Amino acid sequence: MSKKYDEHQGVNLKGTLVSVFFVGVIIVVMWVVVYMMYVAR
Amino acid sequence: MHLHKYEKIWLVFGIASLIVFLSVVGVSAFSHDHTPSGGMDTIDPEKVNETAPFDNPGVSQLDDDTYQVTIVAMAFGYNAPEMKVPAGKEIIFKVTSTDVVHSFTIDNTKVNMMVVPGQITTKSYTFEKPGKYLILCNEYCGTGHHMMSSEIEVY
Amino acid sequence: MIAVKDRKIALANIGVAYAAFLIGTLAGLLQVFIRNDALQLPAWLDYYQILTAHGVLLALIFTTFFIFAFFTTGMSKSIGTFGPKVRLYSWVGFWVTLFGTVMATVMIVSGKASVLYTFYAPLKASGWFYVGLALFIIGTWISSFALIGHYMAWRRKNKGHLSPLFAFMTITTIVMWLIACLGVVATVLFQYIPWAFGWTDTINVELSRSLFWYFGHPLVYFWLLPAYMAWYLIVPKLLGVKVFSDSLARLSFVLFILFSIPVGFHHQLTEPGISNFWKFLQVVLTFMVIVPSLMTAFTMFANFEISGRKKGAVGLFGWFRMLPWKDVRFTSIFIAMAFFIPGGAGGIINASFQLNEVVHNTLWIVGHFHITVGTPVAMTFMGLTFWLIPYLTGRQFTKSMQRLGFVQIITWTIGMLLMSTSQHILGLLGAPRRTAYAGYNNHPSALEWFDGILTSHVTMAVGGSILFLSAMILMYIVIMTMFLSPKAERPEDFVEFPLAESDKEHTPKFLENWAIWVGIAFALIFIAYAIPIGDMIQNAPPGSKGFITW
Repeated sequence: MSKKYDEHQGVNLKGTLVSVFFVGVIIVVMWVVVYMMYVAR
Repeated sequence: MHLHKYEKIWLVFGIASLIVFLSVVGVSAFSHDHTPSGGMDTIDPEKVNETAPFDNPGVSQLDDDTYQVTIVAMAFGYNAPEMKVPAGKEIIFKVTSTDVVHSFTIDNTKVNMMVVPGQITTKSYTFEKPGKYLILCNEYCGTGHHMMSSEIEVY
Repeated sequence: MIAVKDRKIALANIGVAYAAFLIGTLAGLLQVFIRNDALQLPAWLDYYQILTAHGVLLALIFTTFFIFAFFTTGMSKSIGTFGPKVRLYSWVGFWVTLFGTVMATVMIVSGKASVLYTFYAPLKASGWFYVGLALFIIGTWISSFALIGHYMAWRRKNKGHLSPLFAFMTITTIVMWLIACLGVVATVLFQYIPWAFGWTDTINVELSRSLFWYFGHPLVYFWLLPAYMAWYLIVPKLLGVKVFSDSLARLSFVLFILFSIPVGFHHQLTEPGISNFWKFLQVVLTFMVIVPSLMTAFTMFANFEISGRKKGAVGLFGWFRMLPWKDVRFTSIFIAMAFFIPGGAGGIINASFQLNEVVHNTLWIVGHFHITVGTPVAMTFMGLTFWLIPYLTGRQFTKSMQRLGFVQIITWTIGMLLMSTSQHILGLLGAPRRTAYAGYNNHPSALEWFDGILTSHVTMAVGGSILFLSAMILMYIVIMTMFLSPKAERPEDFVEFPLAESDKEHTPKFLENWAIWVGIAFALIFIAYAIPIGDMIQNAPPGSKGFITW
């Protein structure tokens, strides 16, 4: 395995980055909602 | 194994979020006593009714600010006469079972305890609002499982 | 196409899977109507019997047989036709698994085992129910070892080479399954069977629960990993791209072997007998197993974007419209993935130590597994079914079947959205799971739960009915492609096995060094379980005798 090897050099993955962050936001929001419910009980 | 730059960013964000979640629950649990119900005490499931404190189930006052509620769960009900406790005081619930696994769950609170025969489950909770709270069993225990419920009055 | 004899093994497995699916979904339909008091069961049948059948047949039987059908086909395709021994043991495994299934199902249907699919002691089913379960597990082991034997023969012939990705992922899943089953085998063989047949008087309840959940969590990964295999290997082919990264795919699977097992306590967070320290340690390990799923999420979007850009998409999200939406094999799996976003997020909440008190044993959990195993896994399997059966039978997947396939996945999506959303909200409000009609004597709190539009009994019943309709459409597609669709004769009518290419030149060899991964897995299991389990045995209270409360 050569360190310099990059199978995805030059591939534009900006949409992927934004999409996974969308997933991340769902995870964080859902978690925070249930955490707030926990604290409120 | 090469990670794309964006994948690195994503994983750093993801793992950081997980660490934050863990820290929040960990600190809240261990330094503010918000651990889930549990306990390591054991009991002979066939001698529950002769073993203290379950020989005398119900509410007892431990000191000015602390009450204990002892409950025996069985198919399909709870043995604990007159569950009336004050709001704003620490209530320690102690529950065990004489037969199968049950739960002791008080609606709209953090009290959601598994009740396992042979073990004593403990949970400390302080009610803020007076009222009548529904108690129910949320672990399948047999034909009458959905009938297994009770009520606690907070004054 | 793969050898006829291998196809027969796969088809037999698919046949059993869908027979279980048929009865299991029917049991699901009955449940929603009993729950809203619209249906009275005859005296010889009760809600919990049906609930047990629903859980066992769908979560255990449908998934397992389907998974072995997929593995058999993929292994035969990617590393060659089975030898006579592999074939023999695959059949032996199939029959033993089936025999165990039938035995357990007969016990459930005859009312001798209304213990639900978690069969928590000291609820005591007929001993033959546990024997059935044991045979089921042993059968899967025989089938597993057949596939491992096939893989080892390939490795001997191809020394120094990494195996094809399909084979690697199959073996990873199987290795995880074998290690996971040790827990359930231990409790069924040494605790339940002697106790149920009366050779021992009592059972150590907490130990049996912990051994069950040692198995219970990796069990969900045993369902999920074959779905992930489809996401990593089938989807790129449908998109016209290669596997995004062979090494990362292997790494994420290896992480599942390590972290899917030493985490069972997160199902036991609110129970006594396990100290907070060990509960929290396993919570931390549970969070580790989220990482390979985060990696998978990135890979999936990257596949979509690379594919779209190859077809000329521009802008940040132009690739989204370029996806092969008209291909039911793709769209089904895409929807499956989308469901896994809230499904996975919900899982993180469930495992978050004290937050579990909000959701434990509420309808939230039921909603949770319907948007994890019930849709991401099940709908991926449906997406595979559309080509797997015609591929194996040599029949066509006709245009009308394709259209029907769309109707099927869309109805499943709508039904599941209604039902699972309602279940999630009801759970947060406090409504318990696993209950027949629950009014709690019209207690005001209980009435409140079902007051909302989304949380009404009607929504759940409508959702459940749409799901059943969808299931029946799928059964029609299964039967058509299995027995009745026209045979493919022209080359273009044949259905392919869409398996993406994977460049493994740059994949490090240690990823296929099983000694490392199995070694670390056992070390982690030892760290997470040795002391608390030892404590459960040494400081055990007097055991429980059995109860039949149904």
